[in-house]
Amino acid sequence: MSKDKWNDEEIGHWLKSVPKPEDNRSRDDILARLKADPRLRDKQPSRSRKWIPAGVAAAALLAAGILIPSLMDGGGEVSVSDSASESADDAAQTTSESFQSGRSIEQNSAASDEEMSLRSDQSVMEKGLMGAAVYPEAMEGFVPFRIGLVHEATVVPVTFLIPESVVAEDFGSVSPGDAELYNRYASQIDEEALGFDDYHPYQGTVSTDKGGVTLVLSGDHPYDTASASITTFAESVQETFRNEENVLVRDESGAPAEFDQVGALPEIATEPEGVYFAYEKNDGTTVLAPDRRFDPAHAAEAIELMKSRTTDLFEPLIPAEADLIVELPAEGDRMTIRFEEPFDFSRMDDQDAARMIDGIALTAAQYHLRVRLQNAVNPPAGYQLEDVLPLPAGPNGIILSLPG
Amino acid sequence: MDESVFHRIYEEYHQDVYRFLIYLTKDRMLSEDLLHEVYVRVLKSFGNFQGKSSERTWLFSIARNVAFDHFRRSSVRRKRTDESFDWETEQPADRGLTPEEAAVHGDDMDRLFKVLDDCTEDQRMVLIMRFLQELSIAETAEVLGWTEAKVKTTQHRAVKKARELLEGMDGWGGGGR
Repeated sequence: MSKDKWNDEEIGHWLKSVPKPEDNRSRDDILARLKADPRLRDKQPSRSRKWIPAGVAAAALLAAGILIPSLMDGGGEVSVSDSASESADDAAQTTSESFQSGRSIEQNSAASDEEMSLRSDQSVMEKGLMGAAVYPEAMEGFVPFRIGLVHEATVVPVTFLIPESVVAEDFGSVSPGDAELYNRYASQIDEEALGFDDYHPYQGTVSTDKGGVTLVLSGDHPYDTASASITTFAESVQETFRNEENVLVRDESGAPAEFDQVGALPEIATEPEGVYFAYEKNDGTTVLAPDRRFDPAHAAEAIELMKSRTTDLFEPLIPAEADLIVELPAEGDRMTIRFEEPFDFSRMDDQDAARMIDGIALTAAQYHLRVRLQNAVNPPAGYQLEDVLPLPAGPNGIILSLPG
Repeated sequence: MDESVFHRIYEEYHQDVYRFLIYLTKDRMLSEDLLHEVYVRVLKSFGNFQGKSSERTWLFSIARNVAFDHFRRSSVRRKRTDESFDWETEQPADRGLTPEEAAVHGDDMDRLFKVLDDCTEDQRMVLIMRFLQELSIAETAEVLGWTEAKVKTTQHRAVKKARELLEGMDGWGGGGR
């Protein structure tokens, strides 16, 4: 229809009359593609091979950047439960008690390897992953192993802490890099028990040489089923090999890997990106994850974006009503975030308050900056706002105790 | 995976959600991919659907988020590869039609996409929801997370914009058919 003048009613009619596109694919084809999607496969019982044999393997909760005080010097026994909520409550309680005893983050972190290992007859905490940052003091005696786990196409970086004694036994005097740690430990993580998709290890081989890390994909790899699967794959690799400049991606012939949706993908850059938000998994646990859709120009914009809500997947960590001024350093690595009105953390749930502080620290860390919070009061237990927050080593910490 | 849920969703909503994605992307292959993602999210979370909204608006909310997630990731990927694309100021049509986009076109569809492309994102969503998908004002507000007042106001502006564009096209075209 073409005319000189349109009235509103005619526009409405015209819009409704435009021929409607149809999806001509068969229902069976659509269903077959869904059945082939690993995210929709019925969960299988946890494969025993994922765990070190009974009596030696365990996982423990790292709560709010502070190790569970009962694992520390003079602490009591740890009661490891199967319930994420119970363990979170336990951690909060023991954290609070240690704070009341006047212990600082540094004091709470100190522990011997012997005290760190859990008794073999303790039940495994399968859902003990809590959204929290891992600060350097908490890494004493551990080697961090960062990996991009996957939950329904969303990549969540997790920092496994492996006792130094175990790494020393496995690698001797050689200091393992990202690829070595990945090849040794990735297959031992029971992702489904932690509420993640069964994604690792990558279907291919990971190797390292002078040029960096190379990932050679097997011929039947599943990362090319859709544009979203490529994005998930790339983001997972980006999070897993953060200490490398980039990761070369090759097919089995040694040529740059080809993906139907994007063509050749010769390498994946591993520079940090994204703004941290809270992300709730299907099992009800909340972790910290970067939303990579944002592309902030600098750290100040990144912090401001932490208040944004643009999708139902990510929950903002900073309340929208918090007015803050971010001052970037002219030199050095200290960024100052000042709240225009005194910000009272006690008005938030303790876990939300801790996540907010950790999320800010993690987002700033993407720019290699530490954070000083000003004009804020009543921080959650274990946080001392008079000091600059330490640069976190990673998000979502879990201690992985393996047979020594 | 509960196949009975899939079959019911397919029978009642498949073509509607497919069209919705076509109107947003103008790309059949991309729409098929995004629709696959919608099904995955729906089938994984159907047990959690609490019935606070209608099933229809719930589905369109998921489809909208899937599409927007894709656009934002695409714009970040393009920025990273130094292609100039500013999601805030440019529209996908600025880069020209790909063969896949052209495949969904006919004369009326051409005019429709030109109208949609030249609207703001908010206006485009209202035109799609209210006229192409024929959702009510209340349903549109629910899908978009707006107040009904905002839907009405935006609809008024969107229709005005559409009128200007169509009259302009007809003026350039020099006559009817």
